[in-house]
This record gives sequence, structure tokens and C-alpha cells, in this order.
Amino acid sequence: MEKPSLASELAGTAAVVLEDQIDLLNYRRDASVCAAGDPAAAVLVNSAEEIVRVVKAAREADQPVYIRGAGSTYAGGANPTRGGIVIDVSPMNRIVEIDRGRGLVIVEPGVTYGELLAVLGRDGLTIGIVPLTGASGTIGGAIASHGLGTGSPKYQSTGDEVAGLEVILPDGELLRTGSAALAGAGFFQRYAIGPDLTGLFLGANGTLGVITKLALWVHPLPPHQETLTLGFSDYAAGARFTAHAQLHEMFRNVWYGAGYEDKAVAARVSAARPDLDGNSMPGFCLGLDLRGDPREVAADRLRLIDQASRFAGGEFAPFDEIFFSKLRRDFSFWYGYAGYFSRSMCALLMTSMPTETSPRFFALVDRMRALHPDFVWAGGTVLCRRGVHGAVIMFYDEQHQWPAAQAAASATCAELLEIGCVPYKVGKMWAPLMDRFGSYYRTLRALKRSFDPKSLFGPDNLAL
Amino acid sequence: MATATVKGSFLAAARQFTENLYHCSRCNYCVEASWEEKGLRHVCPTLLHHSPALSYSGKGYLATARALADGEELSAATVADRVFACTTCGNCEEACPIGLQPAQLVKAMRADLVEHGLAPDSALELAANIASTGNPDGLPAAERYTWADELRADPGVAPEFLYLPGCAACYGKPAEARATVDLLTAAGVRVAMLTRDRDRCCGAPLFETGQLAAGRRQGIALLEAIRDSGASAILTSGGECLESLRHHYPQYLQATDAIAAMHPLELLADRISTHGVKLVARKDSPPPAAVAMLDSCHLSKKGHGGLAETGYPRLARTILAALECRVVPNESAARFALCCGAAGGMAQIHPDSARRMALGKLESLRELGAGAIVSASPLCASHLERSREGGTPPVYGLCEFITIHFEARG
Repeated sequence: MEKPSLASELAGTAAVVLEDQIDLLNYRRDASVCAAGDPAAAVLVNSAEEIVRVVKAAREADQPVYIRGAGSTYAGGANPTRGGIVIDVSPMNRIVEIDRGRGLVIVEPGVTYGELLAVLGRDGLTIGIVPLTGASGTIGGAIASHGLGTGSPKYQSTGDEVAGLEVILPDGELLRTGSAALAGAGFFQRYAIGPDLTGLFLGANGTLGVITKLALWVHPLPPHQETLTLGFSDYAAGARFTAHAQLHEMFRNVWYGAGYEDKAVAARVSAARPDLDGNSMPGFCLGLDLRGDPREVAADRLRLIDQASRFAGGEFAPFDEIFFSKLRRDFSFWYGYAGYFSRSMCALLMTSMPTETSPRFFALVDRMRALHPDFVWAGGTVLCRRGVHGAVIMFYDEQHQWPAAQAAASATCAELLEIGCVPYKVGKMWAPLMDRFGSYYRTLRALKRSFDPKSLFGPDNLAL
Repeated sequence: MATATVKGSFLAAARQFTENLYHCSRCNYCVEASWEEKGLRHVCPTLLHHSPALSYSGKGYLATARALADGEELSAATVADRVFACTTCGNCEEACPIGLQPAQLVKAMRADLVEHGLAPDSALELAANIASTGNPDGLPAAERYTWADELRADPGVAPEFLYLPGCAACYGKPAEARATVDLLTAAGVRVAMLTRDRDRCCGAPLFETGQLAAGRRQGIALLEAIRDSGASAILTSGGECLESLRHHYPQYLQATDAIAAMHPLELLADRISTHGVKLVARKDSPPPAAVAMLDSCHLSKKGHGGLAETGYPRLARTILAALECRVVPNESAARFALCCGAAGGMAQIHPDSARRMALGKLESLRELGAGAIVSASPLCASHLERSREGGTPPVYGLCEFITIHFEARG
């Protein structure tokens, strides 16, 4: 590979080219357990035009290109394992337009969720996505890496909230998806003309294109918020209730819902309330963040408690008071992120599953705990409108356990597939297992060859 | 120098942060985070006004030290350039969701660089100035107390406190030093000062730039003067001085019998609000309807151990509220307030960047629509005043503002 002529290609632009070893230390990896890379250069870009120029220079020098927002994700997608150039889109942080008439907001990829929620909030609006890396995570990075993941029970997945994209393809062409494909029409309908091309770039980890603009649906800011935690005797009862509530759409006002292991519940409650009988702790807790019209929320609350009783469950206020309400009322799903990492570094393995699979998922976490006692393990689920997401969290000491942690995490990924959990944040974490997806993977590779014959964009991500 | 490298063995003081290095998850909160409810918008003044390269950020410093700890060889000059471009304001530490301490790491890495003769010339010049003139800017020692010429202590009354105005107040904001003495006197507080030949820099800029041996020498000389004065309690206007007296002296001088040090605000807030010091708005110089508070990092952020624990942002606002002044922003904004560029050696090592930081700060304060900018830190107030351009409100020290617009009665 030859050295790309970035300086001459970007002459006259505001792009910042970083080639010093110390500057590049920060572009080697993201928050994941995955192996780091070693880029030759990083470029802070301000516009689509600058990205086109970087891609041209990379193509001419036969250098791979990795795309990065905040670099805070945990599947290794931003790690430049083949070297090359990292395009840092974080300076592209303009909120281009809040279009109330069309009910959407158009943003550049470097806008953080924190900034977007603040700006929309002043206008009485919000988005239907629960941004786990909130204050600092960029929207472009989240859609590209996490686009298939946690949305909310009310609005399903993150990707479902994307109305359309503007993307630079590996050949330098600028693609607008959905209705915006028609010059002058703009974003207003994702499903238009023919097959949905927006979906190609959600969770693709920058393997097929560089997202330069995103249109997201906006929603009215709910006037009221409250939390409810339900306790069940075991995972099976919790899963049966969840499936029942999903089928009957009882989560219509639930913006975030999370399932907690018995151990997590017992540890938190016992520490804060030693007066409570340890034997009376639920075997599974479901925390629900309800937002909407106060009367509707009050009615939903009563209905959820009533229906839980049909599954031998009921309200478990101590966990709500001690943990879940604080987590949510402080807007601190962002602390939730910190919570994962406050003990130590951790590997986060993110999957989707049918609700009925969740008891087996928690059993698997227990099995990994027994198999790999050198690490601290946790498991949690996040509600979707249908099905749930499941996160295996493995805490490790990065100074002394990094290679062993990589091996244990990889082994866990394989086990998760065995029980029918399907990954949604693949990056490089799950790449060695892509063969398991048969013709889906073969088709994806064919698409990749067609889009990017020289495999310049994000090589190794999704094993592409 | 340009080709010299450093590696892990270079880290000594920074070793105490090893756990931090392997715990940083690169979440980016120390780089760019927006959390409106908490008043967080931008985090790092160096990234905003000096360079956008992440090696100048909290996580960048952790990554650099981690690479060294992992055995990589890095350019000594580049490491020094990055490490000496931090304001050490501590905003990254406030923003870090898991409590890592990149600003403290920076100070430790500076000490390691100094130990290996890798400090930038501008930092060495700062130390030379302090050694020769007793202040970091090299201004004449004889001018330290020009603002206090006519002040005379009453020889018949034993002072309660020794007042150390600090270099920034004496040279950069003498009106604040004078107003502080006047207000304390009006509040019935008996203060004395050191003679001009014995007062000097407390060493704060040296501790902040890693020049610990020079800082120790400076501290020992000042402590000796304080002990000779017979004072047992000190008031100091400088937030950075307060940090030195309260924290650096016990840490670096093993000054276990450290003298109790307070900021004048801690006394004044109490006396003005509850002890009946009556201050009345001057008819010839009425206060503006609203004032913008410039919250000093040394006084507000927990990493500096200044008044963060005792609630400096609240104290400053309590005083102004007692005078019926509306203060913007509210005290919760202090936690993540962006540094004005005055401290950490920034003004001496990278004056252009420090000025850009000040201009950014002035612009953000101007947007609040207040008639004056007020700070309890003479260092911040004088830095902003020097950088001020037309169209921005005047910048006052807190006591200066009070004595200009209010007079004591009764």
C-alpha cells in the first residue's frame, strides 16, 4: 500500500489531517474488548465534500477507510484493524433542519444524542430512540453500529426511527435514500420507489458507505414520566408476562423497559434495604419507564400491575425506589452506560431474541459465570415492541486479562447463537461467526463486492 | 530534542494513575458531551481553542500514558507539547462518568517531564520569574503592594487573619485586593498582611506545571514568613493559592501543621447574610440588574479541592442575592463551566490559545445579557479583563463589584 496524498487532496479545505503517532493512539480502538488497529492517518472532516476527497485519496493509494464518530461503541467497528485512514466525522455536528411539517429532523452524523435531545426538547419534541451512550455518542456512529438495536418498546428499534440517509459510496457517489432520491423532494418517506436502501447502512459499520446526513422521525415530548418495576418469581414467568403484554400492546407508553437478573436485584436491594427479607426478593424484575399523557400512563400502570398478577407477579417497589426510578428520572440511562463500565472495562455482547428465549439467555449467563469464574458476569434484557434485546456483560481487568477476555467473549458469542440469540451490534466482535448466517452472509458479501470491489470501507467489520 | 523518545520507564509520578489507564473505556464524555439538565455543553477548552486532536483531551492523555505503560516509545517533544497544553481545569474529571482523573494525570506527567528535563521553555521562564521576582509574570517585586500603600494595621488590635491576596490580585486585579480588605474591615474582620519583602508567589503555578522542587522552595519560604507573622489562619483570594495552601503544601511540603486557609468569600457570605453587615446600593453607581458569574475552576471543580466541597458557587451567589442582584447562570452551571484559560500555565505557555479561551468565555457570558461579569477569582477576572474587547460587559472581582456599587452602613 502506498501512502495516501491526504494533504494535497484536502488542500484548501478545513479538514484536519493527523499523522503523528500520539494523535493516532486515540483512533486505534473503541470501547470494545476487540483488538486494536494501527491507522496511518486520521482525518477530522467537516463536510461530505471532504469525505469524498479522503475516499478518493484512499482509493488511489489502495488504503482502507474506517469511519468513526465518538468511538464509544463496543463491537470494534471503529477499530482500524487493517490500518489505513480513519475518517472522524465528529466535526460534522450540525442539526441541519427541524422540519415540523414533515415531522422529522435532519442531522449530520457527528451530532451527539445529548445535543439533539436538548435542541428538540426546547421545541417540545424528541426522538423515539433511547440512546444508551447519550451525552457523548454520535447519531451517525449509533445508527451505523447500533442501528438494529435498542429503540424503545414504543417505537421498536433504533433503525425504525430513521426516515432516510445521505451516504457516500465507496466510488465517491452521493446516495440519498427513500423519498430523497428524487431531486428536490427531500426526506419524508423511507419506503419509496423500490426496495429500502436505507436499511443497507443500518448496523453496517461503515462497510457499504459513509453516512453524511440522517433524517430521524420526531415525536412530541411526553408531558409526564413515571417508572414502575414489576417482580416475578422467575425468568419464565417474567417472559410469559412480557410476551402477553407485547401481544396486547400494553407497552404503548413504555419508552424504556429493562429486565434484571435475580442477582442484580438482590445485590442492590439488600445493600440499600438490609431490613428486607432476602428470601422475598423476586427472581426477575422488569423496570418500565412510562411516558405520555398522565391519564393514559396511570391507566396503563394499573393495567400492567393487574396483568402481572395473572403471571404470579406484582409491583416490586423497593427495586424501583433504589435503582430503576433513579436510573430513569436522572435521565441516566447515560449513567447506565457508565454503570456498565464503572466496575472495570467490560465486553458487551448485544443480541436480539424472541421473548420466550429470555429464560435460556439468563441460564446461559449463569453457565458462563460458572465456566469463566475469573470474570464478573451480568445479563440484562431490554424490551422491544416485539421480542427483547439481551446484553451479556463481562467485566474484566484490561491490564491483566485482555487476551483471555477476548477469548471468553468470543466463546460466549458462539453460545448465544446456539440458543437462538441473534447479534445486532456485530462490528468485529461477531465477525468470526458470520458463516453461521448462511445465505444472508453470502448475499451480504455479494452486495459488498458490488458496492466496494476493492474492500476499502471498514474491512473486517461483519467479516466483509 | 526533536528525535528523543520516552517510554514506560519515564513514568514515575504518573504511575499512581495506572488503574485509570486501563479503566478508560473511551466513552468520549471528556471530549464532547452535551447534557443539558446538568448544564454540560462542551467539555475541553483545549480541544475547542487550541487543537481538535484528541491527544489534547482527557482520554488522549490517558491513551498516551497507557501507550507508554504498555511499552511504546513516543516522541518526547510531542508528549511534552500535549501534556503542557492542558489547562488542568478539571472539567474532564467532572464529566467522566466513572470518576477517572485525567487532569491529575496531566499534572503527574508534567512532573515526570520536568524530572527528565523536558519542560517547555515557557514553563521554565515562569519558574525563573517566580524565583527572581516572586510572581509568575516577572513583574517588579516592589510593585506587589502598591494598592495597599495607605493601609495601616492598627497596632493595638491583634489580627484574626493574615490576608494573602495572591499574585493575580496584587498585579492583575489590585482593585479586588483592596476591595477585599475594605469589605473584610467593614465586616469587622481584623486582617493583617505580610510585608512586601516577605509575601511572594505561593508556588501554585509551579505545582500546576509539574515543577515540584521549585514549588517546594517557594512554599517553604512563604510558610516561614507566615509562621514568623504569628498568624494561625489565612485568607487568600486566589483559588489556585487556596489549593496550594490546603492541598499542595501537605502533599509536597509534608507541611503537616498546615495553617488553616480560607477564601474571603467563606467569611463574607456569612457576615453579609447573617451578621448584619449592611450594604446599600450607591446612588451614584447603581448595580446592574443582572450580573454574569464567572465560576473559577479552582474554586468550583472538585479536582482542585478548593471550595467545591464548601459550595463556592452557592456562596458567591448568596452574597449577591443578599444584595438583591440577579445572578446568571445559576449555581448548577459551575460544575461544568468551561475554563477561561487563565490557569494551568496556559496563559504563559500558550498565550494565544489562552486568549481564545478567554474570548470564548466572554462571548458566552455576554450572551447571558448581564451588565457586568463578576468572579471571585482575581486570576480569572484579570485574564478576562486583559482579553476583553468592545461590546462585552466590564469584568470585576466580586469584592471590587460590591464596593463599586454598594457602600457599608451602620
